Amino acid sequence: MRTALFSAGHGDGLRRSERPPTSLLFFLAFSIFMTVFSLYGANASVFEKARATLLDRFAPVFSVFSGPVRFTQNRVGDISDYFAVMEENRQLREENEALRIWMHQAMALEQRVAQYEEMLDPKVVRPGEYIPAQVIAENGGPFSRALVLSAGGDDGVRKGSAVINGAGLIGHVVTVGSHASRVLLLTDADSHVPVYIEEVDTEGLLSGTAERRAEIRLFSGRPKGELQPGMRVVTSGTGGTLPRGLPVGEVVRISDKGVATIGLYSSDQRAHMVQVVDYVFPKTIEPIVEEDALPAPAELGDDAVASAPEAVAADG
Amino acid sequence: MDDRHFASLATVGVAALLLLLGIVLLLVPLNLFSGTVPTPILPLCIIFIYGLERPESLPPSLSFAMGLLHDLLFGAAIGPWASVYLVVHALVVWQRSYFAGRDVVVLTTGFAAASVLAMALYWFEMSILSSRPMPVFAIFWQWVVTVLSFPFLLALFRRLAGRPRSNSLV
Repeated sequence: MRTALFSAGHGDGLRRSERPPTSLLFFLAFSIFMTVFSLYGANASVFEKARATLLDRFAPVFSVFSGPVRFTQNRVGDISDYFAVMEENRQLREENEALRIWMHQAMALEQRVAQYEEMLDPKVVRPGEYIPAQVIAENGGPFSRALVLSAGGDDGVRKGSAVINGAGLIGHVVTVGSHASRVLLLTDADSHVPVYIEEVDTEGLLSGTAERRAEIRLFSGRPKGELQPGMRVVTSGTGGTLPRGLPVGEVVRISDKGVATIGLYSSDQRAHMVQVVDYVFPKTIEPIVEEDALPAPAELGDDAVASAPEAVAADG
Repeated sequence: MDDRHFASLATVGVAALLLLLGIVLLLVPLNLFSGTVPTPILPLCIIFIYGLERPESLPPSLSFAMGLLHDLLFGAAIGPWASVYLVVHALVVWQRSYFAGRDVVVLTTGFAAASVLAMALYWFEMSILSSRPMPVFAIFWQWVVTVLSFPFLLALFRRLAGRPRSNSLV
């Protein structure tokens, strides 16, 4: 190879070069300029619109390509399942027994919670609906972790909506087209999701690392050793974009600096079908009106309204 | 429109379609070997091969446009993939005379060198954009898979283009 690379017989080796055309150098310089510009304007509306439009245009192409791929993967999966069917059957029986116990406990708790809610009438915010969607594409880049879904704005998907599969939260929607949308996965370096660790009653920010894992940085300083592996992590709902309580994962490791690595519930389950959580944070707050409240200013007349501060001052 | 002009447009169209196919394949959930092997970045191979074999069919504007399309379809920053495509394009045009008539091993080594520079630029750009150094292993592994797939694509291209295995430039 060395001979082939540097030997004679082909003239003067690497010195035999042609200057790239000016247009090539111009486009290269322009693309680097655009990258620098992306530092400040990557989320500009014109780019967002271009991304959404392209997503819509290419969604049918992704569906056509991903169909046979999914079919093949499923058949290969079926064959491997066939060889593991006995062991899997035993595991499923055990899991089914455990789940049956949990189901009865959950039903009892659900009934009790319903009674308490009837007594207290709390204003609990609930996710509205779940929009089913198929994964038609995945980002195959070295750093970015994202999916493309077959549901878009016409189906009720909104920017920021949480996306879950059977195991838990997998990410949130960042681009919405009419018929397709892009989901940023929890492991993407640009993903930041507010979460809540139940056992220690504290909130933190779950950030992706681009290495197929996610880490939590806590909002408040917690004593070292308080976080323990196995603690459950759910969405906190802070910021109002995601609903509270969606299962995310559990703490698997805590570094000396207090950064907790999270084992995501959804990480070992390859997403084919997912659900977009149609959730809107209540922005209007109904004022509490007492039955014996003072009459409205309109009923008192203008004079009464004007003299009200004076009356208050006289009372004081 | 005369026949020659139409033919040159058609070859540019074929190059564009191949690049588009390479980009779409990067987005299709192939999950090679249960997801342990990343999808090779085929557009880089296609640009290098066209730069060697049919430079007239790959204008710089096409590499730039396809790079932008790659960026937009990935939903990330605008420009990094365009610059990666153009670095590979510039390097292969720069050394085209040297590569003329060389063995596949030499061409693969040349592609490895060009693509490692381009991927290093991508790593640098993404690190700047993310304000932290990005992990090296993921990009290195994808580069290895891309380089390994290059000889097969070159052979396929030459077979489809009806050219002999050696000395295809002159």
